[in-house]
Amino acid sequence: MSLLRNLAGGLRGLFRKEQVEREMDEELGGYLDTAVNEKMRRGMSREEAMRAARIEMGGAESVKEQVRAVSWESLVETLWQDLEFGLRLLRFNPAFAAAAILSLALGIGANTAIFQLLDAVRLRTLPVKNPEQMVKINIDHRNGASGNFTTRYPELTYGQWEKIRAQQQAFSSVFAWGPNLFNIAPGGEVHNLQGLWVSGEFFETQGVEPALGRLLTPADDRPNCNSTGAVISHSFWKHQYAGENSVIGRTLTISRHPFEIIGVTAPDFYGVEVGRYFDIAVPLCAEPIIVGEDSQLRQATGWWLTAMGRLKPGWTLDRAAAQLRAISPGIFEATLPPTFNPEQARHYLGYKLGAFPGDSGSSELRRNFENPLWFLLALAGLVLLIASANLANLMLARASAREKEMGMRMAVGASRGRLIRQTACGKLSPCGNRRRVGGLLARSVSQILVPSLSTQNDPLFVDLRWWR
Amino acid sequence: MAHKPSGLVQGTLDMLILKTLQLEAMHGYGIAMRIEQISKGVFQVNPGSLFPAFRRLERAGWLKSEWRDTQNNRRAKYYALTALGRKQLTGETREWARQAAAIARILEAES
Repeated sequence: MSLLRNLAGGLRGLFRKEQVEREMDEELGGYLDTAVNEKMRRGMSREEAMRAARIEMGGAESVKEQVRAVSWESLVETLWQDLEFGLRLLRFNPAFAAAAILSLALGIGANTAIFQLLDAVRLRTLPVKNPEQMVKINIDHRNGASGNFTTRYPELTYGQWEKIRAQQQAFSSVFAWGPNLFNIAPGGEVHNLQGLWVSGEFFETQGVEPALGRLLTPADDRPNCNSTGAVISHSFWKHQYAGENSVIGRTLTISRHPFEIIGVTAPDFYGVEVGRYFDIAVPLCAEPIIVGEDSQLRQATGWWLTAMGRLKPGWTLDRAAAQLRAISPGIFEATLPPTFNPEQARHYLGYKLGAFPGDSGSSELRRNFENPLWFLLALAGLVLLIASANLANLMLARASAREKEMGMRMAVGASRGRLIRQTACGKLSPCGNRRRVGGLLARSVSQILVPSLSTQNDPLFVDLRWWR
Repeated sequence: MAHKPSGLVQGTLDMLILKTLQLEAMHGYGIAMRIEQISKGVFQVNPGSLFPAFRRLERAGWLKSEWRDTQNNRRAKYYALTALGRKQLTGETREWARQAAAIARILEAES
């Protein structure tokens, strides 16, 4: 009830401000007159009475300010005034404003840029459905392994992958993949693109939707397939085929072997490797077609695949790891390369499969740059702190220059709280500008940082999000 | 006046205003004068605390105000108690009596 009345009174004060102010003036004027009359009645002269009454009253403005301070609506009103006042002060001091805005903007920009990178490389999960269910299947402590390690993530051989797929129970489905460069030039000059070998379950398991056509399925990944389709990424489709729908059914040559384009992946899917993108994905069974006699597919010592799986409902990482450990001896016995000497064989047979969290995928970039990035972030934080301290000093210096002004304003009725609020507003009002400049800086800084790590044959792709 | 007028005990101004208005509606100067006269000059209320108190009490719903003509034909804002204000006054008077008696007992106790 009293809250309602307070609210109503406050709104009246806000919207019928003039009337309320006029009433207050009249009331105070009346008080003063009455006081003067009273004093004259007691024998003072008119001048004396006026003077005495004024002294008793103190400053009329100060009294009014005190009355206004009782009500909440004055807060709303004065806050706005204070903000305006702060901006006006800044306009009178463009050098100070520029220094304040720039120094903080630099600090904020550096922090944002590095955080953007860290977020893309470390914090964000894979762009797939329910990423928390994804698990990486690796060999735990693989020492003494020998053979051909041909891709960036040579964790498994094809033989091991086939056995894992057949014997695992922890996952609703598993998939394997390996990155490679594909030469798509029909002849002559080499034109390399980022390619992926993927098992038939690759897209299904991750829940990736096609933007166009269809994606690869286990039916495409038959052993000894003669010709297969290829799936291209959304960005490749956009810049190579101008996003035309007629791309489906067109032919692409990889190492001079024709592949039919059967589909385009969803726009936000860049693969399971953070820090890279892919242009073309073909089934694992196409590897012998493309690579020819160097094919790793049938070689027991050809390490070129990485496997991941999606946990069945109710299965935990530990339980999946236990099941993988249990099937390990059988798998490694069955896939033992015949060329191994007894020492190598002993190592090989002792391998155990393990399950590792896969919600953020694989990343060489992360392995190499995660710690430096955290360090950089800490450093940038420090820089921001120093910038703030500098700014605080600058403001302190300015405050002492304004001492007289403050004293004068208190004398004519400004309350201490109001002065503090006004000063704070003056400092805060350029914050919007700082943030905007900082954001722009961050954008350009991170756009310089990422390409500086890439080379022509080894382009990096970091999905930098832009917050507003 | 032998002593300088003393400051009010914190929080008692509201109660004194309510009490002053118990019998009849008054304007600001009248209230200040009445408090000064009845306290025999011990309490002098200055406008800087009087008017904020009016605004506060009005917002709380204990006072209502209207513009009326004074005896010497001026317009002035007259304040009057509301029903809620009367209740508040009774409550505060009782509480004050209790506390004053307690303080008196403590001061009179032989140590």
